[in-house]
Amino acid sequence: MSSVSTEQQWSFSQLFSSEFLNDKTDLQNRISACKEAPSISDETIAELLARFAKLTKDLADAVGSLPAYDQKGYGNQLKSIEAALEGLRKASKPVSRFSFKKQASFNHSHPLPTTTVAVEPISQEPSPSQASMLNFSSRSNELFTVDLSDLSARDVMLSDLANCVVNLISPSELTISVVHAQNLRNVVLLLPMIQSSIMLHDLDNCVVVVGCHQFRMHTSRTVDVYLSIPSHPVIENCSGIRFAGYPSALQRDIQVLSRKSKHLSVQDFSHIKATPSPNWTVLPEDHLPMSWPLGSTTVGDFLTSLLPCTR
Amino acid sequence: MGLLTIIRKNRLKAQEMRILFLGLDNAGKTTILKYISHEDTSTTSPTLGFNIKTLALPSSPYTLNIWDVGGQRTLRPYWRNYFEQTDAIVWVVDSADRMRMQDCKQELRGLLSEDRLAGASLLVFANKQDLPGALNIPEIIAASSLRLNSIKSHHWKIFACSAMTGANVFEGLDWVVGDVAGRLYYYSSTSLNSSFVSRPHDINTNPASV
Repeated sequence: MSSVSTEQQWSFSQLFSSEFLNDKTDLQNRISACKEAPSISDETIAELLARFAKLTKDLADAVGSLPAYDQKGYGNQLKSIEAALEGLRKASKPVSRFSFKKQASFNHSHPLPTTTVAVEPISQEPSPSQASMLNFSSRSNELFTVDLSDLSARDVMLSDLANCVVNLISPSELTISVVHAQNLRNVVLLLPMIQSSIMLHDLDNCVVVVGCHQFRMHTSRTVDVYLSIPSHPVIENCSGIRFAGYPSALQRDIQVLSRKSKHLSVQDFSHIKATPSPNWTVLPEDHLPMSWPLGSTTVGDFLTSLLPCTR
Repeated sequence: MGLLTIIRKNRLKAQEMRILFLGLDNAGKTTILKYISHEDTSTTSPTLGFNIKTLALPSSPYTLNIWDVGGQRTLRPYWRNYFEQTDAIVWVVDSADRMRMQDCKQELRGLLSEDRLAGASLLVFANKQDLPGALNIPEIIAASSLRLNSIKSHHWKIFACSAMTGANVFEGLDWVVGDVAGRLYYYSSTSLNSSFVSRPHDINTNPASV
């Protein structure tokens, strides 16, 4: 620390050195005494380790305020103490509850990877079951709805769908936390207000209706998005995207509809310039669908009346 | 007067650590940052550019300079502008994003092979554990996703956390701060000619011009 004046540094290092050497000699004496003793209790070892850890920390804290030569010398002394302690520890039983081992390895050769694998899992359930997810994958020409008795929150995953309708708005009052979708062609995706974020990749000629907290769409083209969102929607490597507000016909909750939405403050990460992005437009009023064929059970009705390329 | 008192009196300037938050977009980097600085986590927008926060953890004497850089694919090439002088990387994973675990793994691999990040501690946050479909840590570590166990180049540790509930966030930060503190001591006290001390001080930390 260059801000410490030479004089201050001198007096500090004098003080530090005497205290440090005292503590160090004391600890060394204790260790040699233990080596002589026929047996060593766990408590003794733990105490010695704690004192060593304290010394190490003292030196770490003083780094920069000591002359480089002293600092190096003290470091080496600590290393020899550490080796002695290690020997002592091997002689008795290993002390497992003390997290000293990791610390010690710092002072050897090269940094070793910490191989312990974490720490308290925070959910009570051991593993998220597939039941907590709605997964639609590799299908075509189908209409998906859900009719679940259990309405606890779920994650939705959609992948590799073609000519499909996914209607999670009606009739059920499903709670959805997040949605991930990938590789959808000619798909109408009707979603209620979801709790968190939606992430879309590789959509082609699709309709997405969703209310969410964050919206991200990557590598997609020709998609109409009907959106209610409090943050800026993000598109990246997209083209031909049109945005409109969440349709009032699909939302019974007036409060949700009157909430301020930023669905037209789109951020195009492929066009970070002051000029307007060529990759998205506002969906003109006269292009909004006259009605939403929610009652229909034929996929064709949905697709022909809603998809951007057929209208 | 104990040693500690002397040291504290002599410490004219608190030591600083530079911590870089990285990860794919939608991982929750900004939300974690908002949580630790006690801001409202429910209003996070996707990051265009970067955020900086300077804060002190109640449990440590260090001042943390946290850089949170946007994770959109377009922004990832700019990550390297922030590598210089980084003490720790916090890699944030969206535990519910099963589709992009491979993507996530590759980006992390690339990061760990960077010379300028050599020696930096790595904290992996398996974020969004509050979601019903979140993968747990063994699942994330499993071969199909992130092969964390093969990382030999950095001190690392993974924590399951949730920025929305705050679970385990400070525990993770405490670990990474402790790890950096231990290492900085090691390098500055015993091997003055290590790459850490002699690494170039080219201050190329200007924000990406995006």
